[in-house]
Amino acid sequence: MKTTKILLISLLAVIATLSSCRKDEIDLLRPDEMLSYTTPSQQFNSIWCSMNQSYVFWDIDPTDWDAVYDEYYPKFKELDKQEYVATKDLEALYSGAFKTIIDHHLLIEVFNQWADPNDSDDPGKLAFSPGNNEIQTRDYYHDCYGYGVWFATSQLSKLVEQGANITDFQKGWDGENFYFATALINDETVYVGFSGFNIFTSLPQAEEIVNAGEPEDEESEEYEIYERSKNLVDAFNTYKDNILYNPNVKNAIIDVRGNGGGYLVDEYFILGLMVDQPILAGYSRLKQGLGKYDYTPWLPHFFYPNEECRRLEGKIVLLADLYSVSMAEMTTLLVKNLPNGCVIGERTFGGQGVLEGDFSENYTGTFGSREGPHFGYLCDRCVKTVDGKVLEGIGASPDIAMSYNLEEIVDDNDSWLMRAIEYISTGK
Amino acid sequence: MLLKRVFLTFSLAIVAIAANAQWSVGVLAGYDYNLYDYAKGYAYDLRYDGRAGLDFTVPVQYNFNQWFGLRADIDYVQKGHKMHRSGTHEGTYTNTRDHYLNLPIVASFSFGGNKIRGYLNLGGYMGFWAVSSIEGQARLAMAPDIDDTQYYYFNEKLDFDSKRDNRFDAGLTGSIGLGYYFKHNVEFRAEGLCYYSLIDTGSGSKNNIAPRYNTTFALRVGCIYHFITK
Repeated sequence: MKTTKILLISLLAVIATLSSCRKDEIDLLRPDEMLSYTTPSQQFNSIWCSMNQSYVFWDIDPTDWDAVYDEYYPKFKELDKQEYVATKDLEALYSGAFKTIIDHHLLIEVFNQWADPNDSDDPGKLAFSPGNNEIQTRDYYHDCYGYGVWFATSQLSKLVEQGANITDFQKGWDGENFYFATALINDETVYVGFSGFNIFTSLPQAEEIVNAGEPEDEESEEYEIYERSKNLVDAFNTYKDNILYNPNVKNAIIDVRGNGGGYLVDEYFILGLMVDQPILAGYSRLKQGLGKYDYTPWLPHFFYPNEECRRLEGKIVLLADLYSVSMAEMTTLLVKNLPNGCVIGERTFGGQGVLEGDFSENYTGTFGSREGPHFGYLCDRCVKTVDGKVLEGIGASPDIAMSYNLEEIVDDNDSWLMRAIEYISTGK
Repeated sequence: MLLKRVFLTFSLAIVAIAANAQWSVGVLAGYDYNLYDYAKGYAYDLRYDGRAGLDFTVPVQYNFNQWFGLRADIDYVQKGHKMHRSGTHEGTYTNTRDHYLNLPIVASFSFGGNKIRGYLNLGGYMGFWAVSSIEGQARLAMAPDIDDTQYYYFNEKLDFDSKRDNRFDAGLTGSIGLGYYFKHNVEFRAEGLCYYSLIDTGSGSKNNIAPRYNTTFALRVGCIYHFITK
């Protein structure tokens, strides 16, 4: 009996000791609020932790983020010893730490609180995008000057002067960043080009200005804004009416060259007018939890037709280039999945993730503050294609490849648009 | 001389113990409830709850004498947890089911008479996270109507990822039981058990990622057959 007691007490003692072997609970810090620090290494720690918790590609990204911490944290600690830190030194370290990150939406802004105030050449702030750095390594890289809706409208204007069958040619601009153009080519093909997926925000604002009535003073700034808004509303309505109600229209050319993306809901106004069935773009997943790899299963990523829609019986051709990003790339993938779709142009940027822009939505994505001391702009959702490929950092490839040609751009000769028109008429 | 005496005493003790030794084997089954210990910190609308499941075990015990033995089980344990969000994300939830094979090894102390006996088992276990599945709902990026929110229901096997999942488990275990001998070598037993894991189920990352642990309680009943050697 005595032996029993000794054994029992010993076992209980061992169990009581071992039960404290669990890791301590940690005080979880919210990534978008980790903004208080006093040294470069603390700033790096905040940004590193925010990425660790917010990033939606960790199981796909080749970057060993823990190894990045091991390598770079000591380097930032060395900067702590300095009275002043040059922004270029910070930039070199951050660029190195993020160099293999695949999220092509990712933008990091870092305010240098330790810049020498006497150094007027030091900008005091750095911003970098791993995606912008990566595309410069592609063999077809070119700068962003050139193709896009502005270029296409020059070509269309030339065609009009040459007597080509171009009607309903209208363009509009919201006064800031949104440019929209449409034309009817050979009575049966609608051209639509736009600089960003901002119809959802820009169009209602323009409609409100138009509905308020035409200002009397034609020389006034208000009149200029009214006229600009009316052009935009008229251009959009012309495009929409041709798609929905013009019985001759069978084809469409959607121009997303140089289009940096925007709102998901804009797709209701583009492809959503041209199809009458949901289109499966692929699959998406988002963070679901606070762990580094807490993701949902892959969810179907459908795009839906608008309430008012008409299936185009002919061809839907999309023009895309290196600077087609985000929703422009999503639209590219959607057109590739259409039986009557064709993509002409270049492999796109590679930023196909989805952003909601609010960390609280899914405890993922964008963190920090644009006002400083740091800001991270990144995806909430990872997207893969219907056949299971994640093209983040890679881009969508065209069905018909075209090359960037500076001479054509200087001569206002949009050969890509002409190739799309040729494809529609010949099927080749 | 002294050494010889110690050796002789020890050997006689072993023989005496072995003379009364017996094996026993059984089958026990019941319900368990898994508590999921995971700090969610600032995520006020995110809840993690435990999940009930089934437990099935085959215990094998070597009894040195009437009050002490060593027991090992092959135990199938269903663990898991629930997650759901509230507020504007009310439709978002998951129910995760984890299937474990545990091998507890415990010192088994028993006390009582020939008909009714009580048990206290203390020791440790090793486990293997064999299979996992997830069922739930998540919000889609787009809905048929521009103003709508649509949720997608899923119910599928969860593939393991060595970056995320730690499939090895180990920890402490203890149980108390009550047995009724309705024959001299056949016992009906009921017991309550706890598995206290010491291994973070996430393979984890440094800094600002919370560890997560399972603590599982089970209630089970069954039969034990005692092989009487004497």
